[in-house]
Amino acid sequence: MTNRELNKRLASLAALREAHRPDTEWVAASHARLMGAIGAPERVQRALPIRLPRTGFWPRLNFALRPVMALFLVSGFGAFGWIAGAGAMLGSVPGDALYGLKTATERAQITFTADEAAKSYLKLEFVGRRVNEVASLAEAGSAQDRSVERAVNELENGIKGIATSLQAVRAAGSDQNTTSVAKAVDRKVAEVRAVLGKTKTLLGAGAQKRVLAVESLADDVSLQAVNVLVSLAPVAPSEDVASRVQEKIDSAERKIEVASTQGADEARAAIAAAKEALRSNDYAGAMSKVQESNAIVAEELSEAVVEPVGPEAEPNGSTSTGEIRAID
Amino acid sequence: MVKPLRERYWLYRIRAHKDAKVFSELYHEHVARIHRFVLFKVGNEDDAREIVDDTFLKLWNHAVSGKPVTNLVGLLYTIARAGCADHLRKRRFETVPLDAIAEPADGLAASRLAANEELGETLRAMERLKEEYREVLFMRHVDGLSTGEIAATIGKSNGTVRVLLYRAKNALKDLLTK
Repeated sequence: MTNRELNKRLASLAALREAHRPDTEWVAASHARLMGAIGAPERVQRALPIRLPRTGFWPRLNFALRPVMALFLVSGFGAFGWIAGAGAMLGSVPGDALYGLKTATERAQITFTADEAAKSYLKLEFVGRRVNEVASLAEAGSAQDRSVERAVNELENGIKGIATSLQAVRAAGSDQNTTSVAKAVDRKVAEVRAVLGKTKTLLGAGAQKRVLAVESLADDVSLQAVNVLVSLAPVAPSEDVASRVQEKIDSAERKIEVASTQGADEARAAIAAAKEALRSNDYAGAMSKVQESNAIVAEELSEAVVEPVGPEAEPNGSTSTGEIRAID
Repeated sequence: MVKPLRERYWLYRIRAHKDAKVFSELYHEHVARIHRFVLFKVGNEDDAREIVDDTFLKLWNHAVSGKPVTNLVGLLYTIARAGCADHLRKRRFETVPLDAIAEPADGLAASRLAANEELGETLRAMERLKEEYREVLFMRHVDGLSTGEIAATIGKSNGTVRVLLYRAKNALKDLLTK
């Protein structure tokens, strides 16, 4: 890469200046608070947060045009354009023109946030957005299959990013931060799973398979989070850890029922051992058995095919209940 | 040259006359960039807003107290930066809401940014830079600060900042070339 190319890339960062502006209502309120705190006169406290150009021809036309232009900007075009732009970006999904902006601003936030734990929280928030995008596209119908595929890929990458972040926070050394982030990861993954559970029934067979893989990844990350909590048990309250381990056991049990696989007996034995370990407060042992059960089920599922079940089957290959049946 | 002169005038008005109107002007001139700077550092909108409020109030108190000020914008960033560092030291994450991220943009910027796919790659590479490098690149290329303003912000000489920027760019270039 030449210096010229590098400078061009660095110059493109300036676009973030335009893309990231504080909420105008907050600016007005903050300004009023500040002016109040420094004892400014009433009229200054209510000053409009508008600056108009100070160079070029503007100063000469200043007095006549400024009030008119200000009124125009505030009441009409300015407000409408800004709100429309912000709203459009907020609701954009893969395939939309504004989606690139959405992900670029998110990337910038992660890049420039100084603290590992803060980065993790940002990533969790963004994963929430990704799963909502998958849901929006799924509700919009199957015509946008490529967009759905991209949305699922983005979600997958987001979840992988969370796993990396969790490790980075742990490596940074603060047990308090690690515990908080691990809990947040566990909570967010549960939200993601809930949305995907409802969404996948709306998707075609190919997309459903991808979603299943993402769900499996999400479960792994969630298990990692609980494992981290278990390893920090003296810091995290033990009842909380116990209930999270119990949740993982319950979740693993549900997977065995859904899968109905040949390895079910083996998986059930692992779950029984996990329950026993939990009873004796051996959280690490319990988690190990949960992972064993999940691995057995995942192996069986990898050989399964998503197919319509019975008379309730939908045309796109999903079932009305969203259940996935394995081929024995 | 115009910009420093205006800032000197602001400083004079604030110091000599405790001119709130001028301070209001200064606030509107810089609030967006300080908000962005803080938000990108702490990653949470509510915390960022609190730090920004605090930053401007501290700037006023500092200016009217008669303490020496060589670079007003530099001082503003210095206070904001210290606020972020203080916040990150004290932070307790249980209270941080997960949905408090602002995301506004205008249509023009959106089209410009969406068209630039290299930006994502550049940002990913910047994430791998040392914090010190990332910070100076942010101040220079995102916030558009001058070398002098960056120097005043991070408490180093102009020469040191130039060296830092040079090294940061080289490190980024290496990462983007690999």
